[in-house]
Amino acid sequence: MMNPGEFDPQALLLQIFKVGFIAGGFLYIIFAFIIIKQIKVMKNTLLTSFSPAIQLLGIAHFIYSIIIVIVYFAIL
Amino acid sequence: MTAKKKKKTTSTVTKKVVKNTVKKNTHRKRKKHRHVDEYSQVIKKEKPTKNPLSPFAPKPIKVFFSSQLKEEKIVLMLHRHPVTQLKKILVILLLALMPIIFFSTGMFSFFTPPYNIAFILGWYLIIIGVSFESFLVWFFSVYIITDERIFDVDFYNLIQKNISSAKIDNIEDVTIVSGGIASSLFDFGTINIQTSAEKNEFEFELVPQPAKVAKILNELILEEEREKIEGRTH
Repeated sequence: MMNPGEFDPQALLLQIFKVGFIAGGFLYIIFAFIIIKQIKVMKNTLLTSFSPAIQLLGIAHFIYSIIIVIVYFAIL
Repeated sequence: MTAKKKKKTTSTVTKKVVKNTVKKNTHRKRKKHRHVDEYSQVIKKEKPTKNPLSPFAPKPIKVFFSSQLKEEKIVLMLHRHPVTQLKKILVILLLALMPIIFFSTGMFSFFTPPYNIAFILGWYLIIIGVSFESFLVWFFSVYIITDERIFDVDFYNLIQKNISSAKIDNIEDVTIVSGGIASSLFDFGTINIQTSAEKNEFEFELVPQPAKVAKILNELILEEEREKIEGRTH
């Protein structure tokens, strides 16, 4: 049993990971947003019947990354 | 008087001949630009492709590119052979199995259950992102052959891209480079195209059926020459 005020290395490590997860999540949201923008550029270069599906996939990926960050805030 | 009349008749005849020649030449110039099926034996045998994911897509339906001209028709669209992506697929599969290794070896034993969930969610999110990015780069990096030009669209990653084109009549040499067991088994290779355009070398990297592609290019070059001779240039 640890006394209050005593240094807990596990708790500190978990705090570091928490910050890492959330910061990483935010960076990932930016990456997912860049992918959406890039799909738009790529679609302007080459338009196929599959392009709308790819754009939808890009948006789904972006939404998924936002959900993950929300889950991080909720559970960590 | 008779000599004058004769002179007049001769000049009328000459005028008529000139008029007819001009008419003929104009008619020639206006002659319809031939459809690729009319001169390419290889393309004639191929059915139009509806599937945009097909690595070898002759006469693709509903495919357009940014600098396509109104009368320009896409003859062939090529992606890299899917076998060339096998390495990336294997790496992604291996990465997908990593959490099992991490947790079985107790590498993250200090994680509490919420952290385990967060780690797994984050890990698979990254894997989805990497796979999606690889797919996008593969899908949008295409080689397009139209009845007028060749296009090399290269997306190196999500930020860097390179698009170059050359007219078919600027093509000087077409070489097929193919070697190795995989390329013989799955029939893929690289086509080097020398041109007299600003970018004098085009590389259609690891495309399926390279011999067929080279044959199509040669047929297009011949047609361009025929167009020049017959005055069908536009």
